[in-house]
Amino acid sequence: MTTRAGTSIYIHSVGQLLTYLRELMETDAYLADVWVSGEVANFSRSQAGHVYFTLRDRVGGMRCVLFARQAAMVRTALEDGAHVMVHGRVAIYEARGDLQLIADFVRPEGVGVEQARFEQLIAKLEAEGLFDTARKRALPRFPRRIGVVTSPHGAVLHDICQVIERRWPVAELVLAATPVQGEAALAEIPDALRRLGADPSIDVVIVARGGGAAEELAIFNDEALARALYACPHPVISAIGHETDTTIADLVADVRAPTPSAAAELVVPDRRDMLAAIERAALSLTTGVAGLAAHRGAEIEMRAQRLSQALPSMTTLRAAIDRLDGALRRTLITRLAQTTASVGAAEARLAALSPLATLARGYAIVQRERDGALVRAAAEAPAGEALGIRLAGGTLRAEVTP
Amino acid sequence: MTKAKSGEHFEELFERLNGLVRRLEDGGLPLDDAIATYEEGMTLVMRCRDVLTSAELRITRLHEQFAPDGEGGGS
Repeated sequence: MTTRAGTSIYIHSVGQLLTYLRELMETDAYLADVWVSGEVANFSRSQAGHVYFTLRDRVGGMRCVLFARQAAMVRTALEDGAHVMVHGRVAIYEARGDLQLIADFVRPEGVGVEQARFEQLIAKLEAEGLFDTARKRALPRFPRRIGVVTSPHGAVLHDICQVIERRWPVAELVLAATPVQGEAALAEIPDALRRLGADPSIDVVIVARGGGAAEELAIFNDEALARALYACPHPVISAIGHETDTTIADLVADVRAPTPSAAAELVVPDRRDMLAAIERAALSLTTGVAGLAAHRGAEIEMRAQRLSQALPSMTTLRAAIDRLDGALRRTLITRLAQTTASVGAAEARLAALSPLATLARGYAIVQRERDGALVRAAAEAPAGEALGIRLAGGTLRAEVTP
Repeated sequence: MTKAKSGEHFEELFERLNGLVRRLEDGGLPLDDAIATYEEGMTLVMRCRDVLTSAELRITRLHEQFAPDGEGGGS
């Protein structure tokens, strides 16, 4: 490469010259980020969705290309004759050596540069996902340490403290005192967010600002501040304190509150509600255990009853025993009587059969003296035989005469 | 008060309490277990109440806490 001021003559190739021009434009801060206004002409849209047009004024014109991805986000009607403001970068289309403006954002002319820039920034951040509802984090139910980014002076901090003191003094407030307006705020608020984010014991962050002039809201539309909010690992509530305008900070925050007091109420529960919940729990415990004891008692009672129904009672048993006893007695008595009767009958028969009765009738029992045998026949007692004769009353000794 | 900060956090106490209530309400507990659950639960009830009624709001400044870059007041 030669410098412009170089005296030597150098013959470039076309490619070298084009490369030089391209690099010139890519490294020029002004040309890489430019806003141009003009009238649209020669408008066309390719099959792929890329949009081509000429942006021109009285003096001249420039080719513009708006690629499909960016074109999809442009809400301004692009057509021949439209007066627009275009944001983009200047580039060279090397194949033909043509200058072109590669556009990424279009707004109608007259909207105002600041407004246009604001809308372009919103579109850019939205495309990056900074506003995605899917990424909004839920607030913790019982935060222990609450980070607060706000001015240490003024009513905002006082209001927040008062609400939290009343509702949930269990929490601890960690104040990151920053200015909330002016240039200093632009640097200090992101820094406070980073430092709170670096502390893992913080559960949630409130960024709050009191009401004031609308111009002071501008810092909450700052890109660096928005990115710092997005990067915060803790859920963030924005309470920027204005009625109608939404700032970029509000869009990035996980929750948006209309006032600092409202933010404080969203962030902590009311301890009166929790005390009531505790009482309900105590009641549930008491009725639960009492109910269970009663239920068990009833069960035991029922089983005892069933058991007692299955077994005969003492009275029944006693009665049964008494009946048995009576029956036994009667049986014994009857038996005794029967036995006595039998014995009596036997006695009578025995008495009837007794030889003594025969003797009483005058008969005698004759026995041989020598062997005691009864004599029934005369031959059994020959002459001279000694006999014993038993009478009813006494005995005789006799001798058989020949 | 340091009562709430001494490792006893309301959220844990409250969740444990609710767990015990659910256990009791689900039923099927033997009577001994039920009574033990009741007692443990009532202890938690008192501790929860204490944490809430004795708490005082503490406000600290961020730069007082820690200075990872070696700047600001020490903690």
